[in-house]
Amino acid sequence: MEPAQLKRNIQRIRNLPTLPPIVAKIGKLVESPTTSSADVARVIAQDQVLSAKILRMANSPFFGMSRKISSVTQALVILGFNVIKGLVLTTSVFEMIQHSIVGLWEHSLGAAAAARVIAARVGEAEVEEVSVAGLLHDLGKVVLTVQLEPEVRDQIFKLVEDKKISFMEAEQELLGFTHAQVGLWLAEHWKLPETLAEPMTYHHHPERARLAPLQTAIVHLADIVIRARGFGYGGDPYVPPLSGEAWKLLGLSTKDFDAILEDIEPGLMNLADYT
Amino acid sequence: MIKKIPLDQAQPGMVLAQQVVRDDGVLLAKKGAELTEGVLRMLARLNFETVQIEVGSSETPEELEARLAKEEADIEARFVRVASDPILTELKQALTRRLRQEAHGTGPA
Repeated sequence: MEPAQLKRNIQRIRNLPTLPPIVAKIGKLVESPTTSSADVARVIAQDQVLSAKILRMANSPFFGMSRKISSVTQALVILGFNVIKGLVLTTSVFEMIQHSIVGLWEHSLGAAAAARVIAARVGEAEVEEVSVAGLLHDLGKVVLTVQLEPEVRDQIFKLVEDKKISFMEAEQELLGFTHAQVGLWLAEHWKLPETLAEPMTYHHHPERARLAPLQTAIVHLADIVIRARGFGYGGDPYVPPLSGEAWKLLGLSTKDFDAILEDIEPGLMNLADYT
Repeated sequence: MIKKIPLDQAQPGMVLAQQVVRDDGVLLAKKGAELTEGVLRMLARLNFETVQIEVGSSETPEELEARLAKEEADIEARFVRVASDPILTELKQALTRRLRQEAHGTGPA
């Protein structure tokens, strides 16, 4: 690719989509150590549609709550600020996800379900947060495909098909950068916590994660398992390579696969109702 | 074989593998009943999320074998770029095992 075209592509993508002002407002609030759940809930409550969507997601099967969450304040207390921030982000970019790659939303939901199951299995305490990290892991891909000129985007799809390579390899070959890089820009731009930012940036290279290595390794394996299972579409039909380091960090055995696959299934069945 | 499916994937003509009962115990549809547009609309209105249906009853052993062979080939195709990884090969075998178990009704419904 010519340098001028490359520069144009980067500029197009770096001109990141603007989110509704409420997202920035919540982001800012969450950063402050003196903010209480009630403060955040008050801001969210101003937007009834957003409140309803958050409650719907919070009560959906992939959080597997044993009792119904009936208020945004309750959701904040039970699920934590980072999870709610992730959900606000998800609802804000939902339409964009729908317009990016057919099947990417299902892939994201599937990865969230898988991340949840794997997190529980390896004894990670913040199961919900890792699940949201799974939900958001391919946001870089969403923004990349939505922001690029349609011809360039179609070239990526064509390259995947013609050369039988992964979406990421096609991005690298055609653009000189990948959705992982875009994920990093997004995470910085939207001031996401490292537990969401690192899985977004390093889910293909979990050994590079410095601040949230376990969460990143979980999302890495979740992406692999859900692609292997065949649910949704992540831009190419291939199971990506497994990082030996991440596998070691997770401390799982191949005997765990049967149980993981079994535990993911109920989540996938019900997800259809929430999309 | 019995399969639990999301309501929005249920089609008229499918056969219920289990009766559908409302929270207060009222029977809404009998086991063995054929789903109709009307029943599906009612279940949607009452916020049912899934139904249990009979599947495979019309499938001959040859058709079943052909479907499984196709699904196995699909799994194989997804793993083509990681075929040399011993850990992921175990994952592939777990998926294939699951497929066979479900088809023969020994897996979870």
